[in-house]
Amino acid sequence: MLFNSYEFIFFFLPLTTAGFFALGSLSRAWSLRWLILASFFFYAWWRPLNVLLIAPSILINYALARMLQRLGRNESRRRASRVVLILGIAFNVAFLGYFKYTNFLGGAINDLFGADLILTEIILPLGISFITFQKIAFLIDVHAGRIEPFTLQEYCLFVLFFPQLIAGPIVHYREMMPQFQSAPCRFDKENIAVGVTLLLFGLFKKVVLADSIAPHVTSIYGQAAAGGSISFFLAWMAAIGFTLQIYFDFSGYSDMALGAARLFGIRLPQNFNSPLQASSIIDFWLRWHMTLTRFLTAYIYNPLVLALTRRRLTRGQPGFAGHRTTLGAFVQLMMFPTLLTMFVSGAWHGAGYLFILWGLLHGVYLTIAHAWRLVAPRFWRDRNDYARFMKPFGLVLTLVAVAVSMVLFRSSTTAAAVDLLKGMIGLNGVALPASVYKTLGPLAAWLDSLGVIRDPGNDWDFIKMTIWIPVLTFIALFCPNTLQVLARYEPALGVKPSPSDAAVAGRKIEWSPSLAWAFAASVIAGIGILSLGGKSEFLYWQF
Amino acid sequence: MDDSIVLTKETRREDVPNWDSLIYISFIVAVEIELGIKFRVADVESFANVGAIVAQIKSMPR
Repeated sequence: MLFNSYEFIFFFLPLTTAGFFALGSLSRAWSLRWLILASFFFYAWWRPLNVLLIAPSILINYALARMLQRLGRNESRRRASRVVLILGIAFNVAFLGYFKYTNFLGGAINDLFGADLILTEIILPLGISFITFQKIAFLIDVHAGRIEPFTLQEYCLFVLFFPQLIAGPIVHYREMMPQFQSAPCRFDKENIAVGVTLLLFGLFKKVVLADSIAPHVTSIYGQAAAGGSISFFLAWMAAIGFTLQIYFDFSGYSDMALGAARLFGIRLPQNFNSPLQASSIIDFWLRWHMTLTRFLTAYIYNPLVLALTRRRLTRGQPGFAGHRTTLGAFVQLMMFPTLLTMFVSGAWHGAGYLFILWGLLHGVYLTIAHAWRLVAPRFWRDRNDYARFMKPFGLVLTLVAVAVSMVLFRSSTTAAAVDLLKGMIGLNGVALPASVYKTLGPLAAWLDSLGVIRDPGNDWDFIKMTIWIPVLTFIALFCPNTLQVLARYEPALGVKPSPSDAAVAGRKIEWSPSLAWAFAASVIAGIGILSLGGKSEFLYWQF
Repeated sequence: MDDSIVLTKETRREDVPNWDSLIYISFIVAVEIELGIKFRVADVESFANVGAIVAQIKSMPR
């Protein structure tokens, strides 16, 4: 069930909330059971068969986790516990791998060896990538002794809780379960007001802002895939346009997830913090899809760096030493773990060369940024001086680097990506739509002399994106984000008002339960709901 | 080595100039090797200050 569909907004969500409160007056246990049932229904709506796939996987994971819990209490059985953990991770990776990567690997073998493996279409269970990561994290946490004893019902609620089921935020058991265990399960004005506001803001970001340029981005990427050579301006518009589209789409989705959870008095973790305002690529990943970064750092990057550091230091080789780090230590302790982690991130997003390249490219970006951090102080002694220059420069550089990477993320074929990247460096010529050309008068002759070409088509894509890209860029760069506006009500776990947010916003825009905000929310709701009904899916629902 | 840095039990990561997560891990591993112990990944991530590291070491079987 899509968050931006009539059936979700007018049927499923009100009914589930009402049932939750009604049962809450009887007992919390029944309220929570109702939530699990509703979540199963939510998941089954799109393809009922999916439940048959996901249910056994939940049961197997539950059994493994219980086994780990029992073994964990006994220090002498660490080895057995380790074996169970590795089996558990292998099972989940294989489960994901079968659905997600069978065809990709088959295709790769066909490419490499000219083999003739027959590829059949395997239907991807919805949200399987997110669900799998969350289950793996849970097993590792149980193994590490970080989880209190749990029941099957609690485990189901943790995995299936519908606001975060399909596309995150990726949650930890230990941040969710205490909330469920102490949720009042009663109607609460503030929770409903904050939840509904988050839902409406998120819906607006998706159906108005993201979908404003989505068709034009799709049009240009479609032309690139069909073999058309995309000229300079349109290529950049597609690259920047898609970056803005996916930001408003995915952060809009995340706002809706937070809002839906809040109706039940549950706070999910923050997933976005105005990432396009980042002044470096390191900063970007701390603000973009934050729960994925958190997952990758905690379960892949950190353990890897720890193991590698142990190996280096026991051999007597130097470890990481800030500005005095040796090249060997940098390559082994920084570059290699970063590239590997981002490779996993790329492969997790999708089975395809382009996703893997996208991940590796970000790994390269991050490596360069970390290396720069080590050497930059040699050139810039004065930190304030450096920050003054680097903040605006870093922001533009980061935005361009992200937009380039997004070409790989969005393109359906390698040829399309190559064509767009060629267009962006001017190899496909510079063109303006003929109808735009006509309005330029005397300028036209000058443009002709510069070698600008008249493009017979693409008028609407060009014009609409010329209008929307500045509007969306302004919102992404200069407006406070949803969570900053609602900060006083802790809209996401741990998000509190911060003095620096007020400075960013120029003057503080803060939500409050007032008539003015009710009016603003109604307008946003009206526009959002009128824009519903298109067949526009959230980008991250495919993963 | 910077001798001006004095560690107390209350010293936190943010108290040391130019400290970062990788230097932290090198520091932790140096402690492990010196004392012949091995921390768990979860512990390494959760140490709030030097005192927490000392407390953890004292609780570990040798």
